Amino acid sequence: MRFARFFAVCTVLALPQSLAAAEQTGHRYTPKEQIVFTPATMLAFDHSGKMLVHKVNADGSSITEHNGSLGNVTVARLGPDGKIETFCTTDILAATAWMAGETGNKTATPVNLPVAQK
Amino acid sequence: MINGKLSLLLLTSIFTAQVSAATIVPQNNDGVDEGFNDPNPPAHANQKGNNPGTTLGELRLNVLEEAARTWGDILNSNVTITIGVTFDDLSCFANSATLGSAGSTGSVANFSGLESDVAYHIALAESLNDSNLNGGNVEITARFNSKIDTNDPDCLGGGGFYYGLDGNAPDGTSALFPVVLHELGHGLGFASLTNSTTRAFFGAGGFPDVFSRNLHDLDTNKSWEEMSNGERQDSALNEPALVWQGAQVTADRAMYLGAAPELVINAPAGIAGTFAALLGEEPTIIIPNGGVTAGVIDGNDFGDGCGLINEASFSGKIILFDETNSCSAAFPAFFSEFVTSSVGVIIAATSGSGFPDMSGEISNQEITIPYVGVTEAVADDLRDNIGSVNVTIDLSPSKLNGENQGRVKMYAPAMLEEGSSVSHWSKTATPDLLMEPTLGMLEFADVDLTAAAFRDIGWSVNIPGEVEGLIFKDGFE
Repeated sequence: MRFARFFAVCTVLALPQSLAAAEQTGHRYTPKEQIVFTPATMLAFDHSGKMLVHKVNADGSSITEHNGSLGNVTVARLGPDGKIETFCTTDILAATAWMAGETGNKTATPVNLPVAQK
Repeated sequence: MINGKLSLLLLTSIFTAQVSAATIVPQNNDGVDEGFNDPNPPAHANQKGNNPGTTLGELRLNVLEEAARTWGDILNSNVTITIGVTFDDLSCFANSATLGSAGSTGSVANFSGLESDVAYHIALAESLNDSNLNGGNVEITARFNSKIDTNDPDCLGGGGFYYGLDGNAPDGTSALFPVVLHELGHGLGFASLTNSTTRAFFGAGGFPDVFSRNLHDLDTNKSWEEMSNGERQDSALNEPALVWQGAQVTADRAMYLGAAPELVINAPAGIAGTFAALLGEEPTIIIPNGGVTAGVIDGNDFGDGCGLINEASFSGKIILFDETNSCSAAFPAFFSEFVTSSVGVIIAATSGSGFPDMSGEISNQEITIPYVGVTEAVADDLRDNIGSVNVTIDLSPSKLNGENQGRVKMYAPAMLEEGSSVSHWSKTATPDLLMEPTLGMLEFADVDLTAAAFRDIGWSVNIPGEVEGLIFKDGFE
């Protein structure tokens, strides 16, 4: 068992850590240049304020309509272990870089129970 | 006796009328036979889980309704919150995809029931004002990707969405429920209404919004409300100094966050002390009660930790390695545990005053020995005393993962490409929280610390774990 684990790992030792696990299985992330988003998703990413419509009432109250902008977008990628990883962001560049495997992820770490439960 | 019962009933009805659990309703905006009305069964039997639906449309609607009910049980409002939601064809590639998006449809300011000159997300504002403020419009919009379910191997592997509500998504499927729960959290108010570039406030009236007012920078000791646009730009990239300053989150944080690791140098006396450490990310690490205590060996005398280490002298010891760009911290931990029977690993930063990068895991390996990162200064002290130094890797009795100076950290990575989104908790929070930018599968029994954050921004909230009767909501505590 230990040897099996060792040989599974030792093939990827010299690679940058962010891509090491991918190389272990021959996995490939989506090339950055291939990643495009639909207009609706582009609108959700828009945090420029250009889509906002402001209304001020006579009593001084005000309303701002977002018109589809100011959203948060969850993207997913297939990890080298066959599991789906997710990432939520307001930034289209961040989403693209993450989908292309250029930035990392973190999975749940159950080792530490909340202090209040101890 | 009868009068007493009547009085109790009247009192109950008065309190109940004042505030009640929120009704959150998904508004199906899809056309015939598509999206929420899709009459087809899912392509794979393992997509259903414990969801009682049979068609894709039913399965999807059940997930939306369950997520809406979950939030409705936490938040109080007499005004119905409507989510305008569709399933549409969004981007999908062989190994990545858009899953979905959501946001509030607007913000308001200076209505009755709201603090003056503060912008509120519309659903929260309507709850506080006790009336509908946006006519026939919905309060939240959400959109999810129907392409995921097309059984196309060139679309995220073809596994489809997992529609179960039990957190048991099979490998290769995309769990929809946690994504919806997370996205609705943003739509209900867990979102900064600031320009992503200039960081100008652009909530209603140009006023600071209720979420951003709870952001505080420990380096400048200013809240976002007190900062200039330029200062907010810097603060948005200033993790770990950007924290949540609201009182409820601060009070409740120990209910949800685990203890932070620490390195205790027991000997020699000249360098003894307790030092902060950063835990590796392997989910199977075990730090037993009392910690792991051993002498320290300098692993760099035998290599950089990225290759095979087979030294008998490592057995029973804690091994110190410098950080390296050649592999993640998990690699020396793997070799140390399974090849040399070491009991722990310390990864040393090689520059600056911070911690080494402890991200990254070894797929499908079960590393159990603790491995932690320490600053260069601490590592130098250890190296200067190899042979006599004895340490304990332990959990702090007073510090929590994901906090800084007693406040919960926000996601504000310095590298722009990692996403300068301040509308999430820091990824260093452990156990993971619902509103972190990366979603796991273990943490969705409730909405955890986000309920406290919602109270901080003004929601009337049923905090999980609090002893609070249904009729004694906010205002009667």
